[in-house]
Amino acid sequence: MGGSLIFILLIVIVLAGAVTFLVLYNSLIGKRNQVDQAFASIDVMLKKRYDLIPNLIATVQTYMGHERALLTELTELRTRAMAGDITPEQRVATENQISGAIGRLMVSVENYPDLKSSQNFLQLQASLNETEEQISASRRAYNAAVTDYNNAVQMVPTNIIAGMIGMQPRTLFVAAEAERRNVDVQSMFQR
Amino acid sequence: MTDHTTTLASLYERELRPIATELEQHRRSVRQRAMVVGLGLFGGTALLLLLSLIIVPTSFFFFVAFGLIALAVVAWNALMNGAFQNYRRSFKDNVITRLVKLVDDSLQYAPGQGISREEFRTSQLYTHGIDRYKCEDLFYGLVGATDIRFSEIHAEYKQTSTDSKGNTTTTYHTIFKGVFFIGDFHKDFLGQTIVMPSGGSGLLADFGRTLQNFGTTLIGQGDRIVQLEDPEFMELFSVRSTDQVEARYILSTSLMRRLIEFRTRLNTPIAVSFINSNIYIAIPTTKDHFEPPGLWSGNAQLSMQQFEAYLEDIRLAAAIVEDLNLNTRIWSKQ
Repeated sequence: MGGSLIFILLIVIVLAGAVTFLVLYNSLIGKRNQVDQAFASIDVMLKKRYDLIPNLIATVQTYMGHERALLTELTELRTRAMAGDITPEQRVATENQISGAIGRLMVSVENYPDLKSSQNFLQLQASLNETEEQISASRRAYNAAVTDYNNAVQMVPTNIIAGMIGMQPRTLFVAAEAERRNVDVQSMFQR
Repeated sequence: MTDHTTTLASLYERELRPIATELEQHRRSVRQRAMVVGLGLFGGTALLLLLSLIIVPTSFFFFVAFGLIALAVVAWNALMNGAFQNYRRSFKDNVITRLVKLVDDSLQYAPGQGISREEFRTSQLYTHGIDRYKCEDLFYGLVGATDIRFSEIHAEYKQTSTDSKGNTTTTYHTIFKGVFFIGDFHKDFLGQTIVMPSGGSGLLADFGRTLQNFGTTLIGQGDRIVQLEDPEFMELFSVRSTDQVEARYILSTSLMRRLIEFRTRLNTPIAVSFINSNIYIAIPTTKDHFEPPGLWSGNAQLSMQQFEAYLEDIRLAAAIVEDLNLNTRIWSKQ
């Protein structure tokens, strides 16, 4: 009588352990997939921006004779970012440089009133603002997913399973120094 | 603000004071009529009661008395209702309609209309089935570049209960009462993002959110909780969305700040949703807005301050557009 009770108890404990393991394991995998998905969505938005850059340059160059260097730089940065053979870190750095270059371009447009008021340019500017906003949104979504994932990887009890299957914390997307400077309104007025 | 006050002050001297005087005369005449009719009816009833005291046996008297008094009240209401409504309409047509133009020239006012039940449901802010729905005082038009509409809404659901004797009682419970605002949002989006007043913050609330998220995952329902970066925002609101990225596209860091300020200024738990490229805002209030001074108050000539209070209520539309920066059109949507 006592023996079978212990046996049943053992089975229950093992089953409960297995179910707990499964649930925790699945939640970890789910979180990791969300991080990957969020990263992919940044990529989609960045590609949208690549599509806009040639249009931007075509619209702008007839007006902006003095800004050749900036336009060439932007074209080169785009080519570099689109080439598949760079590391993620390099890619992030290049994207940040693209943001910086576009920012500078938008500031120098202030010196060309004809360009600034042209319908073509206004449309492009709206699309660019749109993609920038989308990029920032997908970065924030990515950071939220990473935070959620990192919490799971580092906190008890999921950290035990994460350690077993070799899951590592990921790094957050931090706005680059150059990008932060872009939103510095004061420096814009000093130009 | 001072700008509005000075405009209102000069307008008060020129136009509003005569309107207020006329309205007060109207109110007094309605009140006088109501009193005369009331005296006649209740005097007559009293006479009838005296008569019946003699004719009718005492055991029946209370029934007769009750019936007669009820009849008198109904008759008084029926006789006066037209005049009451007339007074309300004249207030709305003269005062509110005039003040609307101060807020924005293109803003229109329709006292008898409101945000429809379908539109209220579309907002997805209140999912409870609606059994009784009332709306009035619709304001609509453009504020700057933004198409807006808002009205008063009272939505209720019915609860019928049967006691042991088989008597059924029906009570109505409020789902939402207050001002409901619909505006054209300045960004395009496809999903649904819903910002509800938060159940609070802290460990317990976090646990609740986790459970809720787990629940929605199990059911496979489309929307999930959105964890945003702003702790103050997360303390005031809880966010659900069908699209994590889109929710952040809509709720930019600046819009979160603006919503916090707006919520703090109103000091009431507002609910906001973003659906079909519209923004829906539900602001619960207990006050009945845009109504004339009560018929039975002593002296109710509208003062400059009262006009200002009415104006402030109407200015809500402009305030939302300004506070939430809805006129900024720098994105693809024009």
